Amino acid sequence: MYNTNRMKLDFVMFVDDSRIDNIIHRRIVNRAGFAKKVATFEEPGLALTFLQNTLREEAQFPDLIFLDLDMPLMNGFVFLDQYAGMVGDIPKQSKVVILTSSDENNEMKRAHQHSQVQAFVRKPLDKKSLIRLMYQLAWSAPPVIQPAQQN
Amino acid sequence: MEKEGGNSKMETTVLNNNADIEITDKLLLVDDRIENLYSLEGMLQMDDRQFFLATSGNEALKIALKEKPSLIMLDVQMPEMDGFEVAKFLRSNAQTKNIPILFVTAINKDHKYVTQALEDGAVDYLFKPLDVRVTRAKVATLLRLSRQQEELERKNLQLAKLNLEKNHLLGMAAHDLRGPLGHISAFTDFILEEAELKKEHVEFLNIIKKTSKHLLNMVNNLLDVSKIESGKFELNYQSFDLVQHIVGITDINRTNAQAKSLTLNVEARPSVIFISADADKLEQVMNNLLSNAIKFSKSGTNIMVLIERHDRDVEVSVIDQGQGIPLDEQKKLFLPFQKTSVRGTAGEQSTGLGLAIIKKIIDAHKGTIRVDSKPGMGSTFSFVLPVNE
Repeated sequence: MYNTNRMKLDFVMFVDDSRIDNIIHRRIVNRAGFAKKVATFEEPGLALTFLQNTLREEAQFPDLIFLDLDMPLMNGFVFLDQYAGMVGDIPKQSKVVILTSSDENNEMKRAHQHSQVQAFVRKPLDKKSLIRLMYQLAWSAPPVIQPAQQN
Repeated sequence: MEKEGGNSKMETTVLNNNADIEITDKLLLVDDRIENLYSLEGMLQMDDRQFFLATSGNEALKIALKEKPSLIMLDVQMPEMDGFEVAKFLRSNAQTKNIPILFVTAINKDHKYVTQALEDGAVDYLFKPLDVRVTRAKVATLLRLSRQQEELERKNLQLAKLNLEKNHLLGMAAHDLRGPLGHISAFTDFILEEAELKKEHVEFLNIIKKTSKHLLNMVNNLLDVSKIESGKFELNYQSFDLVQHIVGITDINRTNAQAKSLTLNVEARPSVIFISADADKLEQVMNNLLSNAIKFSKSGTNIMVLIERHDRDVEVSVIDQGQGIPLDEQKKLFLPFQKTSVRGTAGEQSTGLGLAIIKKIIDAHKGTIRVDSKPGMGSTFSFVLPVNE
């Protein structure tokens, strides 16, 4: 069995317009000890601005971004396009996980076309799906997630 | 030759009992001799019938395709294309294949011809000279059957459309219910995690938790059913190690097993089996089989997951030492909304949909699923999947 402690992240971000979902997700990540720091953004535009401003400080950049797809002001696909615009500068270890109540295959395929998208998790996020995600990330990538590298 | 004039013109129509649809029976009469056609038309004339007359096979086929008559009366002996050929063509065309054909002939009373006509799709055979009463009675019966068939087809279409709408609505409702139910479930968990709760309140919260989880499960199942029924059910094939996948799923289910003092083990031969399948859907299958095994097992017993590779297939068995299922209920297990007389050992509830859904998932992978169970001895649910390497 995987040592889930090895998977503890420094910084996890949620981009989701639902305040209730954000409360739940923040608490589940905290209780599971999945990450040291959690930030939630109800407005995707603000999240993008934050990410843009954080690009120069790699250690401050989120290791994992949980992204909702169905959001009124800017949906997850538009977010991904704009995020991809920053790709050249994004720290390599940073990943995106789609977190949505939709389980449409088309949306899953569309999201996976973005190279940062590592997984597709169905809401509600719970301890089980976090454990599963740990497995999945361990399968698809080498352990990413040690404290930020210092050169 | 399409005849619209004289006494064959329809002016009176019959009203359907429950709808204002005008029903007219269209009859196509085919004979190379026009006088025979007029005489037959005269014999069968009624207010709610419209006649189309054709003096050759070709003309008959054109009219049949355009008008889709309720009945075709077809002369066997005609120059160029005889009645048998016309019938064969009508049977081979999707638009005309269900139109009943009544053969009419003066010759070929020979049994062989009658047999051929019936084999070519005729529903009946009349010999000239025609007996007026027999002819009228047979035509009336065939028209009535034809109307009933049309009505059935119409109603079937209507039902298919309604079923599609039902599935769409079911899907939407289930999807919208899932979010709020998830919230109730999550916040109940959060309160339960807090210390300083009265014992009674813990019990109440556990009831809320159990009820909302059951509702969520039911809603998820309904969503699956709506997807399967409306053809939106697709598999995402990917290549992965089935053993590692199942070990991971089993680990997640172990907490529930331990809560009932059950042991849960996985044995795989060999220890790595790569297959091409839909990993998420197989997780759903394994979760269902494991949660059933846990649900119906008494504490202190064992649950074993056995994964075996046989040549081109892999077989996964979930073996429990639970209550077992009576033989007469085993046959219905994989049908929707079937609940068995067996009850969860800790009062767990069932939706009656889980096994029907996982059977669909296994079927979609071109696999098979079966149950082997004896009351009091436990159950083994096994599915076999092609490896598809």
